[in-house]
Amino acid sequence: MRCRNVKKILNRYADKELNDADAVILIEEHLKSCPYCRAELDALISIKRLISLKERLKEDPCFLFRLEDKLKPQTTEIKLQWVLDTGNFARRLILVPALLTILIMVMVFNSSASLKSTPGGAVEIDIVSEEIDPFVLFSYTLFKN
Amino acid sequence: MEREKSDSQLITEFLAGNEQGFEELVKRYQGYVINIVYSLSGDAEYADDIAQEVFIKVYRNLGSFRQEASFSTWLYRITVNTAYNYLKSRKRYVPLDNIPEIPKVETLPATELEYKEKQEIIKNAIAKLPFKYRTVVALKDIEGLSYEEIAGILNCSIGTVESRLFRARAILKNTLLPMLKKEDTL
Repeated sequence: MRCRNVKKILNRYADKELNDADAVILIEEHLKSCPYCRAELDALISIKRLISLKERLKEDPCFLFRLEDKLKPQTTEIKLQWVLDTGNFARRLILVPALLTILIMVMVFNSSASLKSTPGGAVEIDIVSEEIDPFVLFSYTLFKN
Repeated sequence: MEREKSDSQLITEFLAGNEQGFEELVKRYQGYVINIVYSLSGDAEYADDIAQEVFIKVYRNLGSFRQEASFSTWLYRITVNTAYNYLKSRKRYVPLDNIPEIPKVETLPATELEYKEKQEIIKNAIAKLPFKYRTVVALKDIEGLSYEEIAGILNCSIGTVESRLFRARAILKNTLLPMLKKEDTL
């Protein structure tokens, strides 16, 4: 086997990835008599060995705990993100009924009661209807305060 | 003694709702993932964060993993891609003419100094390689994977793996030659 052909498969030979038994025998025969290819193989093996000496990071025993912490909030975050992402339409859907409710309360309050001042400065409610909505009365009390 | 469950069994358990399946996979592959990331990025500080990101991606996508390839192949593919994206975003590389000087720590014993020096030289030599060469060196010479496994991870042919290794080692030979000569004289 010629040096040119040996060099083509020398890496594979050094990596023990040469499946062809015949090729292995031919290479080994060549290496016995060729100092240049032998030196090339030795350099290759030395580089592999040096690289394999590269320091490995040790496993962190808390790695899984930190990972679990990162994975847990996702379900809440996904829900929050969904709310934020739903946009103006959803916000209108919530805000509009709220505003309408407030408007109705104000209208009810205005229509079911009228105010008159007493000489003492107190304000009395002139009850028009016999039945006062407690909610209206409560709203008035809040408004007055 | 309880037989260790296969990756497929753990995946099936996880998909059935048992989180322990995923935890077991993390414990099994955590070390490999962190060290592949470390080899590719050269950054011990961020290796852990990037490895966490890898497993988060695995957690989210395990449901769509079709098991056509082995779990490790799929996992390492995610690892390589995540490390690549990290490097691209941070533009972290060691320029060819800018190898940092090794600080002399005189209080350390000679053997420990020598060890640290050697580690720095090896780390910098690998960091100088283009990413595609660095990847094959990391997967072959550091992690000990076969050509076939590496080809599966990188989605390329075995010939391509071999070719990249050949070129990577040619570059490393020049960079590491002084160290090799020193080793010969010892």
